[in-house]
Amino acid sequence: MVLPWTIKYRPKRISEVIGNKKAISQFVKWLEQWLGGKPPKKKAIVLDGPAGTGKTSLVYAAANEYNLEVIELNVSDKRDAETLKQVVGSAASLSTLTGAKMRIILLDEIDGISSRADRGGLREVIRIIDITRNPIVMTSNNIWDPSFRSLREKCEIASFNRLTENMIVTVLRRICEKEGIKAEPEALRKIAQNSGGDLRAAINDLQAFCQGRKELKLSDLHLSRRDRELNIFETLSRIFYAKSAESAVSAVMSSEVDYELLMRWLSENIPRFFKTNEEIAYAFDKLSKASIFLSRAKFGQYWRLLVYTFALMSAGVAAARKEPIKGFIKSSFPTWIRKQIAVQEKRQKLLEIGKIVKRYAHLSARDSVSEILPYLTIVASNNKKFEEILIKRWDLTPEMLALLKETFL
Amino acid sequence: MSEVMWTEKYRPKTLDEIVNQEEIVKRLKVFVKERNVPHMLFAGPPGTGKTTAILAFVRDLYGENWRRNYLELNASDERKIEVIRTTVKQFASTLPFGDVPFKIIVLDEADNLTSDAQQALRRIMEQYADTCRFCLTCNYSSKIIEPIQSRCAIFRFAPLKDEDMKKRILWIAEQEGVEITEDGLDAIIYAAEGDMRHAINILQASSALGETITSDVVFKVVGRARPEEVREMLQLAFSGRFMDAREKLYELLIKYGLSATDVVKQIHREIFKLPIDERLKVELIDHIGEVEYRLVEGADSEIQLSALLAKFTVIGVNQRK
Repeated sequence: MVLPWTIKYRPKRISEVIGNKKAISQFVKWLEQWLGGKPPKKKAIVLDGPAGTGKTSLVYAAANEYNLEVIELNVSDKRDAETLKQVVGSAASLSTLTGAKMRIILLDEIDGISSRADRGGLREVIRIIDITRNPIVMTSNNIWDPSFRSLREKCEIASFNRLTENMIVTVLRRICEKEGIKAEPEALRKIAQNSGGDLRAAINDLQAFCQGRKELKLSDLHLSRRDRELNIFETLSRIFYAKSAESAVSAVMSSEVDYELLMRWLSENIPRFFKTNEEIAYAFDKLSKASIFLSRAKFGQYWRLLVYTFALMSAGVAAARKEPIKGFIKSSFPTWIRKQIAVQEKRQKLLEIGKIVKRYAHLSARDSVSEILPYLTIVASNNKKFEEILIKRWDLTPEMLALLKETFL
Repeated sequence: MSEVMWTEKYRPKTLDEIVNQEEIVKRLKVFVKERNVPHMLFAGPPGTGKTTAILAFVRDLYGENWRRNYLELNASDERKIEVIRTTVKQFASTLPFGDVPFKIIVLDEADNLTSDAQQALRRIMEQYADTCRFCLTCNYSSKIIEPIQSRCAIFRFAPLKDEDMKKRILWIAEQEGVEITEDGLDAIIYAAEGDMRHAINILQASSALGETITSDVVFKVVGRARPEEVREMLQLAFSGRFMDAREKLYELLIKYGLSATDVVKQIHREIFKLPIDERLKVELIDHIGEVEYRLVEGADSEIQLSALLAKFTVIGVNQRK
């Protein structure tokens, strides 16, 4: 089993992103204003251009280089106004939990917001740009569509062009060298031509043709459309009903769903597909180990470890099955995605209060929340005078007190 | 002037007022007399008087102007060593106020710093040693790197004795005009687990609930601060109801805004109280520890906690057989 080369060779630094120098330097200049503590006048930027030209890669390379956290909403998420408000709204208005890293909010393929299904989504994005305290980056294929006029006014726009054949050949050649593959120059040029300036497609094709070979000749190429990718429901049923470890793994590899999101779906649906506690526990054991390998891969930028993540989350989960799964089982959307936002919001609000209490208590904000707030709340709710002192002298707001009572009483 | 929290109101203001930790107090008094002090490391469980000792010490040392010569940082809030460096630099750049030739910097919960950050801290300590003395506090001195330990005078704070805690609680109750029954007092001491701050907080909250503090009142207060739902969640898991247990988990996280690590800690605390085989408790704690470690490593919290609950369903069902 092989790691997708598009992931393995994803640029880690801005200087490794190929082509589009002008757009890249425009983006970096914009981001550096944020990092310097002075947000630019336009708080959002649109990276606009065709697929596979390095827009999303640029964002992640920059995040890696400057040690930023990326909060991403991609096309597979629902993007109506309510979801946007929850996910982006809270991330945009809060500083990070640790206070350490700045966050980039990435709305991938913003032009995928359709006027009907994501009712009000666009308006919400504009409202969030107005209030955000974090940089908002959007990618799009055509921001010049008339329906985006009001959004354009709020954003800087960096335009990406299709990559030239030469650029793509350069990247392909570099990959071949690293993989120890002898490739005919004509073969690489042919792949580049066929990609239409889409580097991601070119790399995927290259990997497909090189599978199990050490040499690549022009005559080996039979370029055609690649296989259709599996949607989330197909992916899940291929995993849960897998007949072999190998077929379970291949479901992950050919899924259109990003593997982190897929893990979330697996976690939600394991107890739906498996009926006995033994099976559930086994499946979760493997899934939890997949998540460890993922964190190790991310932490050390050691992406090879992802092969173990992929295997454990698919073959590992499938191996839990002791008896055949009976009947049709409908997969559900992971409830945790929505709940997670609520948890973070609550936690952040309590920490805000903790930061106030900390000034009087010689404790960390975190410990103030767990050690002081519950008791403070009990006293305040039984003693009007005490409550008034908290408001007057400690500057706790009535909203904060209401939140405390709702939490601890 | 009336303090809002009794923990602050009744915090001893001078070394003389501290009735516990006699050895430590004696040594600190010598430092005050000689107007010189080494870097110090205060190690001990929560609520045993580490912060109180250092605050009383600086008051005795500097008198009225103590605030101008004293800086308190908390390592779990300023995790970035850069922030610590900048703050220390600013503070150290002005001369000490008064006749003592150095200032005091307290770094609370220093054992929350990574060992890399501690290395950097050690350099900062050396850099500003002319004008500043550092006092680090921690729960476990073993989590402080050797080079820092060797630069510090180490003070170990032992958990308070029940008798001493009782005396203090009774004294505070008297000052506040609060009635407390004998079993009420015992309940506070039991719940506080040797942590004076916790005991005083329970006392203050209990006093708000009624005229007389009985054990019933105390348990009511303690129950609110340490969510019952954790136990309910565990019971659901042990009876094999995974989906319900997980629903409870989500509820718990949302209602109390807890982090996954908070939940793990609470689960750990509950395990000892469960009516199960002692050997099984050890097994469970092994799993819990593993999960906490994974969370620190950055693994996904929802998946790790789900996996833990799933494991408990299996263990619970086997237990009942």
